[in-house]
Amino acid sequence: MEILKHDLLIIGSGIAGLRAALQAAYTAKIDIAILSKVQVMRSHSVSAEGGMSAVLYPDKNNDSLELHAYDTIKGSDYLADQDAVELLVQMAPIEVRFLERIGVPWSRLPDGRMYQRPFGGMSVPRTTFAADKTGFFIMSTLYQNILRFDNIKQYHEYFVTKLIIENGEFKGVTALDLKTGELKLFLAKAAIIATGGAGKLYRFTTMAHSSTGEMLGFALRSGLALKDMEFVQWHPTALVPSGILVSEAARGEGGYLINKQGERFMKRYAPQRMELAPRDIVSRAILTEIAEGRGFVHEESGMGYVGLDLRHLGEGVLTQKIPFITELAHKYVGVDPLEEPIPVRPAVHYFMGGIHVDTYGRVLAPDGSWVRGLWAAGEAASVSVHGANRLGSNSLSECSIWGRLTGEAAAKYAMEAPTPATDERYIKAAQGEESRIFDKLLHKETGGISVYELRGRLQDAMEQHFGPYRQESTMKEGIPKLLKIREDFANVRVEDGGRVYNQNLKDALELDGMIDAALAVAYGALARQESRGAHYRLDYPKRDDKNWLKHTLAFFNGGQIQLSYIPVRITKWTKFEERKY
Amino acid sequence: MPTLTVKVKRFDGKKSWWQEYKVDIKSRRISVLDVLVKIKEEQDPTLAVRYSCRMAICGSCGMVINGVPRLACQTLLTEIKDDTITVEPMWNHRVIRDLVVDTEPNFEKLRKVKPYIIRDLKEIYESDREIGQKPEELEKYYNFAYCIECGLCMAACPVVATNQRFLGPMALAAAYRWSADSRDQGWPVRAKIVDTDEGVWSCHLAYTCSAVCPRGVDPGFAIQLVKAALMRRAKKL
Amino acid sequence: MSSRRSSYINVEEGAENMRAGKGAGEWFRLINYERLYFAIQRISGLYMFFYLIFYRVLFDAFVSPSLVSSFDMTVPGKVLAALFLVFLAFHGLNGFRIMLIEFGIIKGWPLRHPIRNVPGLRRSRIHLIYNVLMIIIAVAALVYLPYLVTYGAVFRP
Repeated sequence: MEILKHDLLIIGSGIAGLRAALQAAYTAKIDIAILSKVQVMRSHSVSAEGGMSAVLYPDKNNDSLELHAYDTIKGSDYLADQDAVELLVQMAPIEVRFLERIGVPWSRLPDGRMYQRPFGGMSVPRTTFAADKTGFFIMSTLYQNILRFDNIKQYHEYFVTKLIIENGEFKGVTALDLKTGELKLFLAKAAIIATGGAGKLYRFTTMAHSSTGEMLGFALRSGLALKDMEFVQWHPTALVPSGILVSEAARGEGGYLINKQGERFMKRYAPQRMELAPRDIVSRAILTEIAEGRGFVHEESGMGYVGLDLRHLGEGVLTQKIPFITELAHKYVGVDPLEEPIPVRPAVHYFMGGIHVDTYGRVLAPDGSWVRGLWAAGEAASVSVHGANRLGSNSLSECSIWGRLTGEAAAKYAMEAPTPATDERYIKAAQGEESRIFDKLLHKETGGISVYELRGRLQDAMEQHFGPYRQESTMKEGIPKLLKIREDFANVRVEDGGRVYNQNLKDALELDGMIDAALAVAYGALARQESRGAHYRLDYPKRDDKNWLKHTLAFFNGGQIQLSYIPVRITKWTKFEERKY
Repeated sequence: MPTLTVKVKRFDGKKSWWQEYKVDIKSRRISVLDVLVKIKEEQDPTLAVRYSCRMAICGSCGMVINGVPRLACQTLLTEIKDDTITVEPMWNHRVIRDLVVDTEPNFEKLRKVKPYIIRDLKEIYESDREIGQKPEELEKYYNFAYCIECGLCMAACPVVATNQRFLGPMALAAAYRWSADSRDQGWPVRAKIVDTDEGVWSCHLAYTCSAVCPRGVDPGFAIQLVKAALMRRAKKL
Repeated sequence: MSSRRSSYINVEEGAENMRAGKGAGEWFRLINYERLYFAIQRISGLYMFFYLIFYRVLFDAFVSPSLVSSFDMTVPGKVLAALFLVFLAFHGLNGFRIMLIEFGIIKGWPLRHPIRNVPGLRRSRIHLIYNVLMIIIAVAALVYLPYLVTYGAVFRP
């Protein structure tokens, strides 16, 4: 078994992971390794389209840090931790300017300043963008910048299978090298988990095939806690039937949402902001219109949809400001946005929940103590800055900021910590893992269920029972289905017996973690008896601040998921208004 | 709806062979990647394909479809004339398994041209300055910043096929993109790297790189712009 | 490998264990017309080198001048000579085109359109005109130069 020792491990290579690597490499001359299950520059952060929000020019457009914080907290339905939000709005302009200095091609005004566009939930235009491929440009620039530092080593296509945490301290991980099929043991002084969200738990999602969220399940197994997993955001506009994202920028530039009768139905749900209301309100509006029969129906898949009307924007805006959306509409739907409205429907887009961390990104165990040497950043962590609903363009800011904070803190910790000893216990743990994967999983040639069939059952169960509209009776039916899938996993059959690049085995390992993450979502959703932000219950349609202004923590206790609650941190915004847009 | 025939060139480490699959599809508005994933999930889980985003932005699924290097997720069935699809791994790369190739050499070559802003490092990391850039300065390099590093241009280039040390269109277009950026001060450093036989001068204008680029980056043209700058001894691009 | 659903899978063994495309065979994949020019440029360069240096100069000077003159009068000799001239015309015209592009005289800029991206060279009018002229002259050379060689106007004994 090959043992590799590094000072800092970064698991996941999206914007948060790469930003952490850059900051850590500049802060200290330590040995950094980036492990990613796809090639390092192919993480799902490249599909982010809209922009990065920051208060850059407060005097030019009457903006202020207070206003940005207020928008974020109100958008989160008052569940966000307010000290974390204050940190977010303070550091966002610093990060946007840093990214500008390392070479991101932001779109510009004629005088050289960065262009900012209006976005959902923001009262003042403060979303900096780069055409409509902001995430791609930031990822591309960050990836090419880590080639500057020779103390960063990239491990492409290494699938992390287990976190080794002992006595409240992080020790290492075991990772499967997909190209050769060997399991390797990585020992490190510190680690940052930045593996992103879990979109593939649902069938209709904007996320890539690689966003499966199995690391959240593996974190549960290592004794960590997941916070607020029941808050799953549905993005209002995703193409039918593929689920490809149509950015909020289309609505930001002035697009309309129309139903079968041609009316802009948002005036009945959010009369002030119309299409630029927060995402949960717009998604529920679209689904209500479809359910009440005022939507179109797609013949091949039977999915209902509404139209995104961009005809009045003109060719100039379509080719200069939102060219990617024009291309996607032409290619994947066969619709010319200048002639017809684009068919869109809500799809799962973001997980507000994730690994429980404190304001500075340190991972906390269920009892509140810090797991020494472990941090988490980006979508995989829940700080929580977005509370019950995330405003568009806040996520790129969050990833960059917490990537920087955790990278710097982890680098300083790694400089002082002692070198990890190659203890017999870790080698034994790694060998146990090896036998679990290769002897038990890989040798079931006949009988059992195929991995993909079981994954399809999981996705259908989540879509049916834990969708955007939840109800006690359907959720109570859903949990036994998930537990049955958990049991059936023991009989799963991996048909590919080869070692080199065995994607079938990788899919099976992913499914293993996905089931645990799905259980956290399910139990949290069933327990929370109110409607807040993205979690909407038909039987408890109102927000209940007296009983439910708290975060849900899910963790494993004796093989079962147990829930506990921690209070929300409140500083200045104490008046909880009703969210009317 | 018709039945598609998909011919895949497979390799298991020792021998390679052509394997044919028959797939029933419901609509033609799906991509070749959707068909390959369907084969993987329903008929043959041993087929190895790289894929991630399915919207032509991550660059994982590069392969040769019906004789032309393309991204599988960007090739819709409506663009394929009859009902047979022939798929093989990218040219000029060592095959690891089936359609998965070794792209490490491409990334090494990219690293050699120093693809980052070369400027005082302390100023970049520690100050809070906004350098600013006019829209005209942005246009000079903007088109070449769209590169998703998919490697299709390296697969299509005939010079990369015969000269393993040629930097290739991916790295050379990146060299232009970073040198032409108004915030960068590194053109003298990069000029020395590309002004060699393994740099721009091995490019003999076959232009297939620009013809196959899925994002319209036009790397062939970037290389000619670098050559023009080298010949007129430009101090700044 | 097993094929449980064998009615759908058809295995054809025995294909060459070829590394995915390598070597000079790559010159001949025709995807766009500039690659065709590239291939002809390389082939014509090699052919001219061998014809001129090996046959015309070395063979003539050091082996047997009379053999060279008599071979030139035969039909294969005239064919090889005509081919040399035609290749020379094409190689020169294409080489000049390459020089114009490398010096930056032929300008264009890529059009980044959402649906149909157009590479820079296609948008340059000078390049298009030069291409048309080049093809016309090359076809004319293909017809006229063998005529000249046949009737002894060049490569006289």
